[in-house]
Amino acid sequence: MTETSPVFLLDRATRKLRDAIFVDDVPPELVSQVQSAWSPHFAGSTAEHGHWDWNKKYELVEQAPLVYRVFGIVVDEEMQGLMLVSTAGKNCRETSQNGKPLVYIEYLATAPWNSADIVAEPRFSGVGKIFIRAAIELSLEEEFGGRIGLHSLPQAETWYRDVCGMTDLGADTKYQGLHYFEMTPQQIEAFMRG
Amino acid sequence: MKMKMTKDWFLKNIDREDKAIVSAGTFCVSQLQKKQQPVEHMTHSAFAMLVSLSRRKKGLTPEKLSDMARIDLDELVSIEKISGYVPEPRTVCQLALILNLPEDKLLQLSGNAKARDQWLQNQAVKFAARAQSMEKLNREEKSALEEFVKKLSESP
Amino acid sequence: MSDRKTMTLNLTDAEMNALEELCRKKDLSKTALMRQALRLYQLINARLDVGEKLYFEHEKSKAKSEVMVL
Repeated sequence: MTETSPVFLLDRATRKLRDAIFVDDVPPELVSQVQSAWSPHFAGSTAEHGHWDWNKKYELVEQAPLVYRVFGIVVDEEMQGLMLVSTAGKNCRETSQNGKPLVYIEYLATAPWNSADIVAEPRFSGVGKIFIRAAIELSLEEEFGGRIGLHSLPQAETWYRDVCGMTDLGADTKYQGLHYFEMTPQQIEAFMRG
Repeated sequence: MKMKMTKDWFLKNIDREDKAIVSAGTFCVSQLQKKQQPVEHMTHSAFAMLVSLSRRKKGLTPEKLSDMARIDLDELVSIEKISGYVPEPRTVCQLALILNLPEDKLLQLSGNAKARDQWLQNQAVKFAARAQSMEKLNREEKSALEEFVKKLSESP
Repeated sequence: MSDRKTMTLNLTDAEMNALEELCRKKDLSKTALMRQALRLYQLINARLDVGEKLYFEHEKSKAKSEVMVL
């Protein structure tokens, strides 16, 4: 069931906060609209997330709606970012948390006009920060202690490791060699403090 | 789920996100082959030579390149020395970034993405035939390398 | 959060012990654990329905054995 709540994004041009809407459980028709709206901006780019088909990804939600959920952030009636998470089937790999369940971020992308690998001057920043917080809050709600995990695209590794403060567990050979990241309770506390 | 966050929290360190890339997920599977496949020998030789010569042209040791690209030194050595070695997609993308090479072409040459047409294979064979393994790039190798990289960037 | 409904769960001693042990191991309440179990069951059945199979694979030996889910 779709729920919305107020959040913010930073307009990089004016350096002012813009009111935004956080959407929990983005419906399929909106996902489809987003796919159509974003695709033309990715044409000709080599950005990895530019090739993602969100309609196809939404099939996971249709298959197992208790497990998968899509979140979005809207400003001026335009979707500024999407995130697909799973809430079952993935456990922590980090030694101190080994085996405990976590919320796994299957896909996270910001809109092409917010992405520095597509445009020279991205429009909004803060999409990533809000989505990581959302994943943590969902994890807390699920009683997973805030634990989250994800596989980072190569250009985002620095952000997850150095800015979000996540643990880089190294290249995952079962996942295209992408680096796998997790957040421990201590890191979660630090992130939520800001 | 309702998000609970304050303006103060959001603004703390927001500049650290600024232009950061924040994507999480996988490489696009339609681009990549589901299972890495050994490529035609000369195409793969071209990949190995392209990485090696590009590295040498930039004056980088294998250690320095693996450090800059955040890849395993073992994997870089395997790329350059082991015939037919197919590296992880992430490794190929990192090499493309540091060596300023077109990522999609490198993924094809390395055996990670389906070859789209014969053109790339033909160019790869020509390049592999011209380039040789030497300590320092000679003029011929430099010329071969520059021409191949130019063609990769211009290609369809 | 969407509205929640409450149900009573009748378990044998052995089942309750297993539930409590899993809760300890996973650091979950009984409710959270049962919700996980339900989600996994939905996920597995959804994938079986589209023709996929579920296997265990031994990490070292790579020996595979199929898991049957009714």
